[in-house]
Amino acid sequence: MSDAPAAKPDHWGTLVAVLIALVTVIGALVAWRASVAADSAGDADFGGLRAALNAEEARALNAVNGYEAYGAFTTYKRHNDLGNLLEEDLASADDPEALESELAEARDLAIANQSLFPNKFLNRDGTYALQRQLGELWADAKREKDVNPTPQFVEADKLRAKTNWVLIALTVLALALVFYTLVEAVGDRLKPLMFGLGSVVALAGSLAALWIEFQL
Amino acid sequence: MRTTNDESFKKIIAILIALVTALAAIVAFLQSDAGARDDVANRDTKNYALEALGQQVSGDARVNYDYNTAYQAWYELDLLAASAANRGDEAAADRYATLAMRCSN
Repeated sequence: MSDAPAAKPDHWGTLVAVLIALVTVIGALVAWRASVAADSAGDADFGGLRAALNAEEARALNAVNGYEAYGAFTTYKRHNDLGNLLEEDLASADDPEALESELAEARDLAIANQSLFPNKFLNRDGTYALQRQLGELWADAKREKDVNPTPQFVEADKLRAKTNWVLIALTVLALALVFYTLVEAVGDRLKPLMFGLGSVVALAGSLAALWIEFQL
Repeated sequence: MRTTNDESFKKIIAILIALVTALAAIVAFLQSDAGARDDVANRDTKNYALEALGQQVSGDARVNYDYNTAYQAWYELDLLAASAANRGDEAAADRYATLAMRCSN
């Protein structure tokens, strides 16, 4: 029989070890959610850039097509107006044959150019509604593909902010580990204080992580 | 005595490990924040480059119309008006001048 007193079971040590393991697992889960949010932010950015590319492609093509049609209209109008002026001058002309020949040529050229632009964009006053055509082309592009990158960029920024907040929660959880470690390092009198602080901080970090996950 | 020193050393090491863990978490947050700013800047760069390219193409189309269609038509009509006036064909000069004026509007 030994006279040495039986060693007291180390309840603090066991409890703290279990809680450190638990906080570490929670920390790993929080880090995983931060990683997922960061990945989603990258995806949203990619989607936004694709929409921006679609938008600029549509804008460029619309401008090229619109001004091409406007150019054809300008040429048409020039020959058509020349034809009208020639008709006015024809009555009082000394050499009507020359004017008639010029008139026929002007009319032919006007007709040739008339088919090179959509007539539906002609205004009643004889001008061409280029902005209306560009607006219609833009509406067609919007119907066919995503041309608005802003919502996806906003979503990406939101997810990035979420990642940062989740990492702040992770930092708080890491602080809990410090307090739990200090339980083993301080005297018996301060052990409950360190344990309490560690638990409060761990709980706060976990609740913050949950709130961020479901609210942001 | 030596056992007591060993215990103190182990405690200090444990505290330091915990502190380094907390510092590492803070550094990870700062790294993530810097990475996020980098991502935003990178995305904005691409977006602005795309916008600039789109503006350039649209601008080229506009300039092409303005110079190669509208201005050239005005210039040609102005020359025709001057030529007609030089040869004494006032009616033709008036016609071309009128058209040139319409072009400039």
